[in-house]
Amino acid sequence: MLSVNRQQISQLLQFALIVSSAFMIWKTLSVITNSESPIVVVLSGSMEPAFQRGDILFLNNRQTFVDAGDIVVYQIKHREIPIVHRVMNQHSNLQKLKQFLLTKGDNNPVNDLSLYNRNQLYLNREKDILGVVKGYLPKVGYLTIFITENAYFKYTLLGLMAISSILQRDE
Amino acid sequence: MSQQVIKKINLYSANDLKNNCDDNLPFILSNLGFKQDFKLKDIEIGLSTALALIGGTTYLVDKKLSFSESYNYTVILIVVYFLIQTVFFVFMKFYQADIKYTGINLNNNKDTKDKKNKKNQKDQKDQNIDEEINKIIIKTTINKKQVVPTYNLTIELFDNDSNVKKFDSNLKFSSVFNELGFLQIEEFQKIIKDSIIKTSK
Amino acid sequence: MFSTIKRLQDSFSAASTFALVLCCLIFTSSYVQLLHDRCFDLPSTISDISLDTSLKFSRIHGSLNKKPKENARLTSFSLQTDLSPLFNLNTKQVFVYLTAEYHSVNRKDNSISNKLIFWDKIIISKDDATLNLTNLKSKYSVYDIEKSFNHKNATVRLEWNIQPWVGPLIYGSTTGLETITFI
Repeated sequence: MLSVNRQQISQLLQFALIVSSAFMIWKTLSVITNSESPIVVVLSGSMEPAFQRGDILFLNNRQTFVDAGDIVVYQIKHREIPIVHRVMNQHSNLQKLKQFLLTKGDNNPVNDLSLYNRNQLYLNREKDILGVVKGYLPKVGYLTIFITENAYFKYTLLGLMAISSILQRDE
Repeated sequence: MSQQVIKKINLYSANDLKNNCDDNLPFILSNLGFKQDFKLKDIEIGLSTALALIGGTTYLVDKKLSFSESYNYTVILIVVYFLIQTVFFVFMKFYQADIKYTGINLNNNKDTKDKKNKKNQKDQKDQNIDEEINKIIIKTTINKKQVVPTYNLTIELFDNDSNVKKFDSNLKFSSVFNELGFLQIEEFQKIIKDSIIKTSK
Repeated sequence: MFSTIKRLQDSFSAASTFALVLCCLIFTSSYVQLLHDRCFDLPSTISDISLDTSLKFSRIHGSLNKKPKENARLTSFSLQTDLSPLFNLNTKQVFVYLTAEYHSVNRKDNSISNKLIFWDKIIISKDDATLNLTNLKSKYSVYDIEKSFNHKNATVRLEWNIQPWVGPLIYGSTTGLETITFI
């Protein structure tokens, strides 16, 4: 019998609302910071000892000009992975509001020139920079690394969440 | 039509006990001659669906368009979501709050012009649900702070002229659940009926 | 069984809220302490700077297609400062760096602001925070976005960045100032 009563619909909607609210909060944060991904997890060790794998960084992309010494997240055109490094040199055109940056990881001996594209000497603040690192939380992001790198863990966690939300009734 | 919801309930979970009682209210009240009114519930479902749809649309926009293209749409969707969410919150807190059942009395004598049997009915008033009742609203809560979990019932009765009679009563879960964790429907129905009759006095 | 899950859920949300409040307390109190200790006005001395410029032709020195690029190095400088007030409970490391700032005008008459980092150091503990260094050399060979510095003057400052355990990254500058010229 396919009689879905109001109670079941109501419960399904409760679950859908929790998921929607979480997603909308994420999008609001994204819009406020003008950054596609306002919270990122550190994946590499090139900024040690400041950042370790699994740390969480909070980004803001609303600054027109980035200063030397700021830590930025950038993504080179046609490359997959965003990189979190410190700005070593900056050259800002105050009329055109354009800025060119040279970056380097604290834990690397040389600057990032070898990471840029072939004829690229600088990063363009508007085009290549995803945001400036403003805040920090240690190690909390290790859970995400675990989830993305370990498929079993990811599906088990999703399964548990689904089961608990169906069997539970929040009052 | 409403059905009984009989299943084994964890006697240590006050929430589960309350949910089971609430789930059986429609069945009991239809036995007592009421028809459930779903207006408030439907508004709740409507608002929730709207919110879920907006969330889904935002996700689609995010997926299909690049960040800079989707920005304006996302801002609009976020604002609309926030507005409906506020309406929903206000609605749930102040209108829907704790209401578990709203019903219309099928035996309401609003349209009966025949008053011949009125005298007989008066004698039976103590055993039957008053026919003057038009609408009933039942609110239920549990007392979280008490050691022995108690089910608090608030019954509001509206008669044809929109006068309200309100009555609070409470019952211990142990009086309607047996040791195995099953709700005794007849007991519960009797208690509800008595409470309604007490309220109309 | 279900009430166990509910208890776990409640404990988890209570623990998260507590952790969040604790983090906020930590970084607010450490920031207030920095303000109280006047950490944004720490004194420093930069002296005995000798600068050297040369033409380089490799990519690592900013040269495109093997065209000559003027590179500058500080062949010697001395640094004195005490950064120990920057170290509190919430300080994970202090990144201290020497910057050269100068202005230029490009071909289209736009004014350009420039800043380069010559030298940096990571300080992990309070004991290493007092710097009294002489005869330092710059770590990085720096270059302008144009092919030459054109004998500009630059202001040299010592700036710092606190990497916290929790909370916002904090930036500041010490008071020491020096002027150099790109010969």
